[in-house]
Amino acid sequence: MSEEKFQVIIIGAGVAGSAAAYTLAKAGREVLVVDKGRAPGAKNMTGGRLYTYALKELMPEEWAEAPLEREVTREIMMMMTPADSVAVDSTFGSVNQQSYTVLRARLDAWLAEKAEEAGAMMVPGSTVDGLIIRDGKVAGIKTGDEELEADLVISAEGANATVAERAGLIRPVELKDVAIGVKHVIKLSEEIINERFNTVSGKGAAVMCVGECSKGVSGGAFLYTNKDSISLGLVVDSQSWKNSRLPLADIAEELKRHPALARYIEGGDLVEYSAHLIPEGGFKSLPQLYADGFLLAGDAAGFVVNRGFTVRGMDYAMLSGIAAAETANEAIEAGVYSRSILKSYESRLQQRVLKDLALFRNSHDYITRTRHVYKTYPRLAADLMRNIYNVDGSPAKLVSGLVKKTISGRVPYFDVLKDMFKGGRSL
Amino acid sequence: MGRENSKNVWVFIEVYDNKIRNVSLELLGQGRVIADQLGEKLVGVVIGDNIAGLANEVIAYGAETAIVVSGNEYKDYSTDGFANALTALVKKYAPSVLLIGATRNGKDLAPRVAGRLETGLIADCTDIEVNSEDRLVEWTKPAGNMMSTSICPDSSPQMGTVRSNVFKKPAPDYNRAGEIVAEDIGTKADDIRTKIVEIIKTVQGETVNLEEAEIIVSGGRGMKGPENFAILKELADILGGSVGASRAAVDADWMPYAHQVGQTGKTVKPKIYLACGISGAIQHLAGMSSSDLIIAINKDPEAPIFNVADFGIVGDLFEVVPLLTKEFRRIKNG
Amino acid sequence: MNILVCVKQVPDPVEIKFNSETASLIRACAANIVNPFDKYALELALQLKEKHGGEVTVLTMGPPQAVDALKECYAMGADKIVLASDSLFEGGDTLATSYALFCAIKKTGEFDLILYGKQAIDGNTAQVGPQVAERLGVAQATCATGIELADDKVLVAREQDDCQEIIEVKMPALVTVAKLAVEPRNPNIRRKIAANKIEMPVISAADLEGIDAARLGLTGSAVKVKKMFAPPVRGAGIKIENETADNAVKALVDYLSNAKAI
Repeated sequence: MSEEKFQVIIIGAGVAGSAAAYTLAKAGREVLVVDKGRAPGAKNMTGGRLYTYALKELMPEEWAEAPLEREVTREIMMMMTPADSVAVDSTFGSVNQQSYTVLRARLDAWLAEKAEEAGAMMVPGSTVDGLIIRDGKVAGIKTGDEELEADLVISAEGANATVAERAGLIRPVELKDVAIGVKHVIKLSEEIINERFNTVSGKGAAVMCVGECSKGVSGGAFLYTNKDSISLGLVVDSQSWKNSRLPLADIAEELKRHPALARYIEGGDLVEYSAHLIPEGGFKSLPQLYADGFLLAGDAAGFVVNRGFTVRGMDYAMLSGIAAAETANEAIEAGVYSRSILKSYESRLQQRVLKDLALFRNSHDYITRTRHVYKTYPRLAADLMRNIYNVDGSPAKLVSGLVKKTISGRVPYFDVLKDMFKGGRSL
Repeated sequence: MGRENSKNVWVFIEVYDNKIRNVSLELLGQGRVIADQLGEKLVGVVIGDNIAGLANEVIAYGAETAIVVSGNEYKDYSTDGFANALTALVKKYAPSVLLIGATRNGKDLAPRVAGRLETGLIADCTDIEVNSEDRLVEWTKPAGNMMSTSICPDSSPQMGTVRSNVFKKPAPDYNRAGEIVAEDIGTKADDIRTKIVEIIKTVQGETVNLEEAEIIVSGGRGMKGPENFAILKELADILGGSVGASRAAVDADWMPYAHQVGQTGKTVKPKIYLACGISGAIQHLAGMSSSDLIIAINKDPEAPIFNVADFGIVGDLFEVVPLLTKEFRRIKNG
Repeated sequence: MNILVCVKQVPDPVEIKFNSETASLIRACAANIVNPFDKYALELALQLKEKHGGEVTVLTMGPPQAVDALKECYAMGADKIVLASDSLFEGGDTLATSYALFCAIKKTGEFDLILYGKQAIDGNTAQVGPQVAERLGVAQATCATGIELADDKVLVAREQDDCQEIIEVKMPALVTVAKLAVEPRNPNIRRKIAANKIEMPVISAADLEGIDAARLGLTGSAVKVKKMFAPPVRGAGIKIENETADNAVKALVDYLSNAKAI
């Protein structure tokens, strides 16, 4: 390797960055990965679930050794009001190894190690300040008093892609295009988790909650069982958080006290608290994914689909990392790094990522613009169930009457129909 | 050194500005307890220049014997001079226990002496007791967020450095009789390889004596900047106290290290400890939790400092502190 | 000038910090780091080298994964790195540890100046440096906040309990280093890449001629830990919430006068 120039420099050692580095290094390329975290993954965050098909595609053999926490075999969908909750609890015996809970500090460190073993140079603890741009082509990175040159730079720097933004390659992230995730990791013994979730070691549950999870701030809460800890958190719409004027830490703290969730984490020790931006703009706000000498992957490119009950980002990050690496390989072989060559990145993504984003292009809008999803329907569901189960000596009522009684005055029937129609199409 | 024939409990008496440091007097108090339990004598060792008068103090504070090494070469503390004198004395008299205050100089001297004597040394003890069964001294100190108790079973003397303010200073009895032994141990000038060339007092020429302060007003990250420590100083002045700081504030260079309270700073035991904008990390608590009264002002109701505070105010210190100053000034002026 | 810096790899103190303004986090991570005071010592050594020339060697004693600490030191600018690693060295008190380090230093070379951090943040004893100085028979100065070279001596600014001292120390000398006014430098990427590739010598007990195994590790320790226990808990008292500052202050003053504290 020449001392002075790399074939590819990747910014960020998250899922996308390490997937790209791994693929490129396997192909014998000289790759440098620079990450600002002290260790790969140290600054990364996820709610906690990885859909494994992407990992299998990245490393068909080695994937089984990955530090996956528990296979998700039980899905709980919950609607909640500040005091009540209604849940649909599904156990899928027919689904095999489809998704696992993960902790990023472990997963990312492992992925980075695999990339390093394959021959990539991992440099954590360094912040990339900017890009070298020569004749309109990205030609390397700037960090501190150093400049490092490369034929190609892949930005996998995450939701707040400041390097790409500063270089004018993408427009600044707007508040409406991001959600904010907060998460607590709570330590409990493996046995207690097995007991509380009625599961066995290696298998676990995912709980997705919609409603007024915390202090009236709208959002989706989640709970994942890890091997010997629980990830509990909340994704809140940035605008609604801003309007609430509540400190994020308070919202996360309050969530832990919700009666439907508190019992799961009782007696556990808080071992980690984190907060992170999540791109939510979806298909409509996707940036230009390539420029001369430059590719964008993972969250930096906005590859996230939030359907309320499932949020997918890491699998897309992994796929986009692979696609970026394949594109880079093609460019290196051709010895050309122009936009016209890198254009093939988009068609690679089309097959794996973009079609999903296009399909769910309205889901984010649906969730954030439809206040009923967060406030009214969870309340309706909870009230209806309470009315059904209510036995207090007053005259009994038919269920159909209870439905009408519950809905009446809360929300026009027309709205209900409209939301169901829109939701049905966009989720 | 072997254990056989070693006898008596020794306290190294640290002299500063021609006075005995409080921690050494506190150690004479606890040394007395240990010596009585072992049925041995308590001995204070004073090394310095023109220090004859201090031997009587040593006896008044509970020692049977004061050993005095005096000479011009001991005017200032030096590692080489003091290690030479103290080691020579230990070799001659073979004490069973040697206590040294965990001050800067104490912690400079003790490891050097223990190394030369090939004996064990336990740092920064917060408690020392004798086990009545094996008659070994048990040395207790914080270890992370736990406490650990260690012993030194096979070598002698059993040595430890002890934090100030963990034992009570005994009441002196100037009628106590005792023996004063002058030992003539010289150290050649060439063998002392360090020399103090200058002493720089800290902030505005005043020294910080947190360890002996009765009232401490301390600030942490919540102070937001160095300039805001002025309001703590003002309150401390009215109360006749000193200003302390958490590690966060010292690391941010808002206050000099001499003000730092906590595991890597000073251990304090004032009558009143007022923590302003200090969250109360375990390392901080290790340095102040034996204060008589702990008052906390913090705007975060969940701050751990409230778990140890006798009186806590959830509020903005920038409002509360000036009001407190005003109130105390009113009381003071009658 | 030949400078040796002795460093220790320590667990990062677990701290959860959160910046609510930028919604960013500094995460708790049970990672290992170079003892912060040792990094100040290395920074000081590198500054002296830049001013006066010479060579900076970094030595650590620890398990094989302590290479990460050494690589970081190399990336910061150390010329040589040496790892002393042997299960015989493990579990020692400061007496045994200083003996092992003394033997390793003798094997590593001759030095004008040996720097240590003033204490390691895991054990906080501040004893190993002075005990190594004792075994090497060199002069020592503890808790330095600065060092200037003056012929065959160094001038050391020393952090005292309540003031600062400037002391003159004859070389060879061992100096332990406290927090400096400047933060340790961040290594650049090229140095990090070079550090990743470096081969480093590993010293084991067998490489140290004449070493007395009975003086190493747990066997060689004079101090034995007898027990560990949770510290006594001090209970919480009165807590004033949702009150005006005026009322809170009045309540506090009343409390203090009732307690006869003022």
